[in-house]
Amino acid sequence: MRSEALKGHLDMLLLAMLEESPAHGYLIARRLEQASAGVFELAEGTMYPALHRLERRGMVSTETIVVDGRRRRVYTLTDAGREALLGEITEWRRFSMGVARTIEAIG
Amino acid sequence: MSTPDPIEAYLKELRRRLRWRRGGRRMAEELEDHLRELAGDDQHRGLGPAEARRIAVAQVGPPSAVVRRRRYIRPLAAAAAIGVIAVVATGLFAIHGDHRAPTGALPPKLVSREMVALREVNSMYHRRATLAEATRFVNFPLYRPEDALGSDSTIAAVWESHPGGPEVTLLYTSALLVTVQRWHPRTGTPIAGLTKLAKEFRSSGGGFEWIAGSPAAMVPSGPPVPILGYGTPLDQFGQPASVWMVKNGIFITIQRWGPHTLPGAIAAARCLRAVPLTGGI
Repeated sequence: MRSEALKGHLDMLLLAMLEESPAHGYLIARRLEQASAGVFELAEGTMYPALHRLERRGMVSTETIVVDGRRRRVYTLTDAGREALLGEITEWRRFSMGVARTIEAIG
Repeated sequence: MSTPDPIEAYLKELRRRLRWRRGGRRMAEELEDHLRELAGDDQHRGLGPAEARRIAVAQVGPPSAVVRRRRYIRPLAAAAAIGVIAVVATGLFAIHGDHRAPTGALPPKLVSREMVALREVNSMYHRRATLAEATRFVNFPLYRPEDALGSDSTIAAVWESHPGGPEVTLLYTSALLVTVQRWHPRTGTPIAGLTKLAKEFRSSGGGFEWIAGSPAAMVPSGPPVPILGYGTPLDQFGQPASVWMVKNGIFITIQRWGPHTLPGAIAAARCLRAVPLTGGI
């Protein structure tokens, strides 16, 4: 799936990748790659602006740790983020089910 | 002449594009960490250092794409906005006071796929309702765990049904599913029914006890079962631990999902003390 098609869904996917446990950007990217079985062609750097936006909206919180002398931000899903994710998933299921039924109807 | 390190070249270009930008330094730090880890992993998989770095840079995408995706906050505008928010927030705090609940260890949350599954499976048996409708329906203050469990609070869904008697089910994001009803087919008289139920589950860790002066049966969590939504398997997750109790003549089932379920359910049941369950359904 091209990155353009991911627009509008990236936030939901990033939140979903944090549901299991907190993670830093690299780990989030690896989880996304694994979970999607490589379907998404995402320039991994573009994930960070989205993560920062989610932080500003209170969907994720961050903690800085130092690893190998480098500062690393670890992202954690907040209660608000969990709420938002739940709503997004429910909405997505409804939407995708509607699309699937429409496609089935037209044969 | 040596070839420049692709990661260093990338970071130099990124920092150039991000200079004077709020959050630019942080962005560069995060991308450096990402690139070095990516290249390190590829080296562990057998790539040479130079190739691993080149691939890492390609995988992260060009600096222009990263900068384009970022909507930078201009410092002056941000300061003005923060000022306005601070004034408004101070006013609101003065009006409403601090309603934050006491802090403490909170029970585990449901993961979203479980929440979605629970919502969908309950929708099949119950009529969806608003909280206001449910409040009128049961005619007493609905159990709100945030009263005693801090931020363990939000009601995610409400359902009504009449399975032989009026019933309201509340799903909280805190992994609690609370059902309030005045009739239950298995209990008969409350204490006899609950002790019988407790005996059934004693071998697997269940039991009977009094919680805040009310008889209650503990039912431990069970093995994972498939949950169906619209006829399609959505997920598998364990049967919840439950506390079945009768308080003020009302039968309340508190189901707790996720790990450490029974202690969480018992803790939630104890919180019912804080709620005036007056009247009846």
